[in-house]
Amino acid sequence: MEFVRKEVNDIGIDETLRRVDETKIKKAIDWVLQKEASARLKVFVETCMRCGMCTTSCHHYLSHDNDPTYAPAAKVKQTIWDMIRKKGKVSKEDVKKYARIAFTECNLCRRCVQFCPFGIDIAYLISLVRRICCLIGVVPQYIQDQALSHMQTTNMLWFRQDEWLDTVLWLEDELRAEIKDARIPLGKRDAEILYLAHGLEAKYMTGLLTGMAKIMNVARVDWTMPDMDGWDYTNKAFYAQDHETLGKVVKTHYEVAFKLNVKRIVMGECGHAFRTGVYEGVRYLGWKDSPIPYIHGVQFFYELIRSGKIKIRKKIEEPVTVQDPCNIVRYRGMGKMIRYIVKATCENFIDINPNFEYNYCCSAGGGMIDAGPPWKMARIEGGKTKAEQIKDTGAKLVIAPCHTCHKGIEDLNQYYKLGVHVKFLTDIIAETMEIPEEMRP
Amino acid sequence: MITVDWQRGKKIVANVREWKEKFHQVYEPIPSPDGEKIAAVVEVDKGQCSVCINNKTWEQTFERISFPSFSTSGSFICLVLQNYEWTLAEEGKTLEETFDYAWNLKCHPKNNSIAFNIKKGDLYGVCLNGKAWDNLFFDARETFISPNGKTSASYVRVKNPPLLDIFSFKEGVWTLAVNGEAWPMSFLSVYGCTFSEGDKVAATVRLGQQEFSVVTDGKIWGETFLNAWEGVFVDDSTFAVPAKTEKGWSLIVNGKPEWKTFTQLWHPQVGPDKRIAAVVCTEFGKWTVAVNGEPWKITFSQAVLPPFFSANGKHIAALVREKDKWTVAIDGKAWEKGFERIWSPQFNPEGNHVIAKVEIANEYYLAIDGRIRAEKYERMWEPIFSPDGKKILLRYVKEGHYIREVLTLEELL
Repeated sequence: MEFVRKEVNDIGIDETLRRVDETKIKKAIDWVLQKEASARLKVFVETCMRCGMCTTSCHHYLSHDNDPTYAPAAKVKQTIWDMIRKKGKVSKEDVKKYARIAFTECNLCRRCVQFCPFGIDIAYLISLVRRICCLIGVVPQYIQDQALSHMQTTNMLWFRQDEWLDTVLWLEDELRAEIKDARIPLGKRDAEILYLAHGLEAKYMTGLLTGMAKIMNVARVDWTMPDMDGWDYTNKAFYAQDHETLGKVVKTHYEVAFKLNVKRIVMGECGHAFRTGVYEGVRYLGWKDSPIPYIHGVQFFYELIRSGKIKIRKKIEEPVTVQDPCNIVRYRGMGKMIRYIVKATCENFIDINPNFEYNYCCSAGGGMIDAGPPWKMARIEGGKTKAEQIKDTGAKLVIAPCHTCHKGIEDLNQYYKLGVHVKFLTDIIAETMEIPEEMRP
Repeated sequence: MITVDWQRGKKIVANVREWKEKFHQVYEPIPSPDGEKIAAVVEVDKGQCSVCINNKTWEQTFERISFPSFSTSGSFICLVLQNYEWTLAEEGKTLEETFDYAWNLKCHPKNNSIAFNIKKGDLYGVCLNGKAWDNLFFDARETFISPNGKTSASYVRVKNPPLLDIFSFKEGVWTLAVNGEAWPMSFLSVYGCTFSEGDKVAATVRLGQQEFSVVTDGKIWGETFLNAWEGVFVDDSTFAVPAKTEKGWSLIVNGKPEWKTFTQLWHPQVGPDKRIAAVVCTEFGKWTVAVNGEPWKITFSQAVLPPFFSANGKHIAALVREKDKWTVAIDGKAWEKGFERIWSPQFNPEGNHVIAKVEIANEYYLAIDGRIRAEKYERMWEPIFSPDGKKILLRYVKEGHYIREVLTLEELL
């Protein structure tokens, strides 16, 4: 099989490779394979029978007309096995290929794991490749930029502290046009819930944060947001496998919660951040589980609607389908909760096929969308299967309870002309919920 | 500082429930440390904020009030916005100087110095005791005040490469500024700023992907580590930092590993006798406190918060979490009962009793040595021991009234 790809320039990969030597590359490979990789690596390498059962599970393989170089086992063969075979003595060209495969041709979605007779976790093996690239310094520019921001600010976009505080204050002012005396508490001690937002919601997608604040006020939730670093739940260091930063960000989130003495943390609609906040980051630090409950937006909305704290005034009428985000459905089984919320808010729900844990990744996950403009077409081409899946539903509205899925599907919609629009559950609930008379301005 | 009335008895200070009828909106009430005052940010009208203390409202109103608290001397301080300018207000009086933004208001618990972060134009720094730094930076995050109250510090950004210029950012753009003077070198990140009693200042720094070190008064250690958390001064010339080596996490003292290694290690605290206690993870999912490197035998699966010493240094306690309940562990033994939440447990001066505010079924109680006092409160703040340890000050709200009450330890035992 021949590895044929269109040339893509990314200074995070290409320029870095110009600046490093083979010694640094070998050192990084040896370090990860000998010091960091667990027994899983040995088991997985020794048990893979090359049976090919994983092949058709991958949306990249399917979207690229069954090109065998996109098959999950082939991606492993072309990366980690290649490093093992060459005993770490690999060329810069090899590393460029490893980085391309690991960062832009695998979304770490773990769909393939379900089809492997031995349960080999290919996402784990690709994560090791990313970790090696990270130690060399070879990371797509846009992901690296966000990881560098996280290192000091803990947020993804170099947001200064006053910018965060000021944004929340004006969002509160805006919200009062809709909800009488609405509040977005900052740094309130002893609240029940600490709410963390997506970095983009503080800058480019403020309507989503206002929507969540509206829901919190209408449901009379005792909540707060941080008045200090740690307000942004994203953790783009995960994509780079920058464990050091990943751990620091997750530690900060829990320590803000301890400082404010809340009962639990609630985050919005995002997949990778839940993955880092509940297991990847938590386990890296030494916790088996999150030390206090860490709740995803889907779980939180499910609670609010089931308990009657939010009542629906008028359901959405147009045909609706859903995206099952890999990190909260395949990893965490929230598919039924998503459907409960969708059915409570929408008249005409058409399920997607395949669904739940067998749903296809949006092709933007695992950092692909964060790899930025250079890799946009790689992502869109890999998402052809997802686009066809959405088109087949006939739905006009796709509800995607994950920032990455949301933006990824918007791009697929534009490219493949699907004729849909994409919304978060927050949008849907804020739009359809009943606002009590006494709360209206 | 404040003189506290330790006479046994109960005093109704204010009917805070009435405030809700009096004002357009009332924010979270805050009691003074001596319990004599209860204050809240209030909206006297839409978009007009003020402060109400013991039923008296400041004459001046502001568009916004943030970071409200009582200072160490007992004055009420906050940051206020008026006509697009922020500044400090103390007891209703504002500083003459105003800023484009002000936040992170801090008051040192011993020396009463007051500092906060400021933005002037596009530059950032700190204002300490009414005086803004002469040098300002591209960003400033957090405010720290030294024990003598004369020095302030903040993490600052000293270089301003354009977004996405990852190679410039990788050279390091962050450092610590002390009284507006930045350390001569910059880093990928800097955190854990802390002062010694003699006003030396240190922080953990990140030099590369797996290169972490410590800087003390602008001088970097020769040693680097795979990772490191926030450290602590043992004395003016000794600094201890949790850091990761190839063998695991250890406590590094002046650059050398002093403790055996753990799966995780953080939040070292120094006692009056210079013993060091820290949170450690002895193996995956098992957390406890280690004292001078020796972990307690008991472990907890969910969380252990930073340990603290009794004033005489003989005892060490920490908040711990097991089976979804918080409790207090003292010298390796946990209270039997767990709670939904516990607030800042406190030793008496001898260290043989611990009191805390606890939550059971959304109601608040006083706990002493793990036992619960029957009386419950709709709102309550952390109880405080008198300096002689014989009395306890309670501050709570009952039937809408804010009350301060002094009890004797004897009657609680």
